[in-house]
Amino acid sequence: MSLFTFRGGVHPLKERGAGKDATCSKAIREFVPEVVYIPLDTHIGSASTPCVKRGDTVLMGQKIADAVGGIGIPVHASVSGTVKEVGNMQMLRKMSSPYIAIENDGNDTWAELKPMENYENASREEIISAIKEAGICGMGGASFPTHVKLNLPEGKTVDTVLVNGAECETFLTADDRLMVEQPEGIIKGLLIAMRAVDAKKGIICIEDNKPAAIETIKKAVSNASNVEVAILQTKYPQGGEKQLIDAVLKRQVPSGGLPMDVHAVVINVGTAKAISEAVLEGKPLISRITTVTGAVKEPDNLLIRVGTRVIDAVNACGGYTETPGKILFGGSMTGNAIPNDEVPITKANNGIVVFNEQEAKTPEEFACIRCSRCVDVCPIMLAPYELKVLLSKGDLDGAKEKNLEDCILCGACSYICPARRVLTPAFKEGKDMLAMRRKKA
Amino acid sequence: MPIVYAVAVMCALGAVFGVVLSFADKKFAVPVDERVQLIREKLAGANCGACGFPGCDGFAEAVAKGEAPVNGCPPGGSDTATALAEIMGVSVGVGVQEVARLRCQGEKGVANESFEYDGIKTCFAASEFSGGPKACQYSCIGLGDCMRACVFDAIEIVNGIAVINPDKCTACGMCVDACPRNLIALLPKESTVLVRCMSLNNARVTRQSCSKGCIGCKRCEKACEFDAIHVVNGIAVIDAEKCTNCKACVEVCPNACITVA
Repeated sequence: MSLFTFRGGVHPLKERGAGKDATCSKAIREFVPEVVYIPLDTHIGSASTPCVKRGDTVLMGQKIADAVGGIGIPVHASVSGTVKEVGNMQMLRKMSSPYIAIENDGNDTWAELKPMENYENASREEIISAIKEAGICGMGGASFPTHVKLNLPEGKTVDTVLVNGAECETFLTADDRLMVEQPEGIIKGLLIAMRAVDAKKGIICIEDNKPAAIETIKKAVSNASNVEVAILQTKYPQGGEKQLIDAVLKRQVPSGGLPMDVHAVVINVGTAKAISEAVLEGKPLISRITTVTGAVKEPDNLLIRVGTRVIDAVNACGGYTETPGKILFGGSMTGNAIPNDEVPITKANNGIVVFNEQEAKTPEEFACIRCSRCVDVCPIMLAPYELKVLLSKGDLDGAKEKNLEDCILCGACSYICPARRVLTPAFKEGKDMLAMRRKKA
Repeated sequence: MPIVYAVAVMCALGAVFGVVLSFADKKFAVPVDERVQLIREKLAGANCGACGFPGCDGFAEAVAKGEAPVNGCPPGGSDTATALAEIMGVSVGVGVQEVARLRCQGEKGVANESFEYDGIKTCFAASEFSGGPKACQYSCIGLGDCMRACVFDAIEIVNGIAVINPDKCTACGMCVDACPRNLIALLPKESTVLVRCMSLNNARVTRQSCSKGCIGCKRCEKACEFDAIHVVNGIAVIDAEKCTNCKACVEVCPNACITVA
C-alpha cells in the first residue's frame, strides 16, 4: 500500500531516529509537583481573568480564571490546595505574564464534575460549550482554543475530522505513547468532535515510524464504522495541518484560508483525548503528556499537571546531565527556547528538550549559494532564499507579495540550508512585523 | 536632377514642421516654476520623508505651490528654512530646533540581563521573544534598529545601548518609528535635562532589573521650583516649556535617572 504524503519536506536527524529512541518505548509516568504556577495567557486570545485570590482553598478542576472575549478560554486548578500567589512572571511570549500559583495539598481532591449525560443526543452547541468550559485549546503546540475551531461559522461545512497523530517533530514521543496507551479516549474524542461539526468521517493519521501506535489504534477503531486510520510516510512537517490535509484528503487549503474552507478540521490526538474527558467525565484540561528529553538523566514521558515548572519536570527525570545551553518547549524544529527553567508548562507543551551548551550554539551564517534546496523542501512551495533577500533589505511589501504570510515556520529550509542561513527566524520576524503593521493601521 | 527635388522636399517639410512646432510651443506652453529647482538645491537631499511628502522633489514642488511650510524640512534645519524663505519671499518663524533623545540608560552593567539572546540580531525580533534579553521590558535592547534607520549616521551602539550624536541628528524622526520600544523622542535641543527611563514597572521590579531606573519617588517633583517635573504613571516627566535646566532634580534623583545631556 502506498503511504500518504505531501510535496517537499525533510528528514531531520533520521540517522539518529530523530532523537525519539530515548523515550518512545517508555510507559507514561505521572508526576505531580508541590507547587504549580498556572499560566493564564498562553493560549491564543486574551488572558483569562483570575477569579480566586491569595489564600483561597481550591479543588482540583475548579475554575480559577474566567475566559475573556470570544476566543478566550477558562483556566482550572490542576491540583487541590491553597492559592499561594496571583502574580506576573517571565514566560515564553512576554516578560510579564499573569499566573496563579497553587500549593499542592497532595490529596488531589476533585471538584464536583458534571459529565454530559447522554451525549449522543446532545446538540452541537451543548458539546461546544462543554469543550469551552473545560478550557481546551489545541495541544499540538499552537494552543488555538478548540471550541472556536469546532464552532463553524454560517455557511461552512465539514465532512471529515482528521486526528493528527503524525508527530513528525524531532525528539517528541508524547502523542505516540498516548496512542499506544489510551487509544479509546482518542477515538471517543474524535466521535464527539465529529458530532460537534456534523462530519460523516473521521480519520486518525499516524506516521509509519510508530508501528505500535498504528496497531493499537487499528484494533481500537475496528468497531467504529465511520473512523479510518491513514498511515503516512515519515517526513517533516507531515503533522502540519495543511500538509496533513494535502496528504490524506488531497485537498489544498487556499492561501490565507483555514482547513474548514476545504471541509476539514484537524485536531491533535491529545486534544481528542481531552475532548472525550471533558464531555464524558466532565473533567477540565489540567494535565497533559509531555516528553522530557535531551540532556536529562532519564528521558521520559510524563503525565504532567499544567503549571509545573520546567525545573521540577527535569528534576523528576533525574535532573540535567550537564549545564543546559538552551531549553526548548517543543521539538528541535518548531520548538521555542525558553528564557529560564522556571517557566511553567502550558496546555500546549508537548515536549521539553534540553540542549547542552555545545548543541545550543548557533552555527555561523554564510552567503547563499543559490542551490535552491530550500525551494525543494518548502512544503508550501515558497522560495525561502528569495524571501530572505527581500527581508534583509527591509522590503516587507515585496516579501508579502511573495506570500511570506503563508509560511508555516516549519524550519525545513533552515534545516536543509548548506550555508546555514538564518531563514525561519527571519520569516518569523517578517510575519510579526506584518502583523504589527496591520494592528497599527 | 532628382537630388534637387529631394533637397527641396526636405527643406519644405522642415519649414512646415518648424512652423507647427513653434505654434504648438506658444499655444500649449506649460508655465514652469523655476523656484522648484532652486528650492530642491537647498534641501538636505536625504529623501528621508520626514516632511511628509514623497521625497525631496515632492517637498520642493509643494513649497513652490505654497502647500508646504518653508521650515518643513527637519534635516535642513534653520539654514534651509532661511534659504527657502528667501526664495519664496516670506519670513520664517523661528521654530524650536529638536533633537532625538534616547530615554533609557540601560547599558551593560546597568540593566541586568535575564538570558543570553542568540536569535536574529534586530531589536524587533529580540523584543518579540519573552520580552527581550534585558531584565526590563522597557529598556533599550541595543541591537541597532534605530542605527540602521538613521540616514545621517548619528546613532551608534555603545556598550549595548544606542547613543545619539546631537550634532549629527537632524530630527527627521526615522529612529523614533524604528524603535520597537518607543524609547526615542524628538525633544527641544535646548532642554538638556532629561528623564532617561521609560519603565512602567513598579519600584520593586524596576530596582531589581536596573540600577538607573525611575522608581517614581517624587523627590524631583518636590525639588523643582518651576512645577516642571511630575510623576505620571510612576515615571517622572519633564514639561520642556517650564523647565529652566536648573538641574535641581538631577541632584536629588536617588537612581541617577535624570541626566544632563
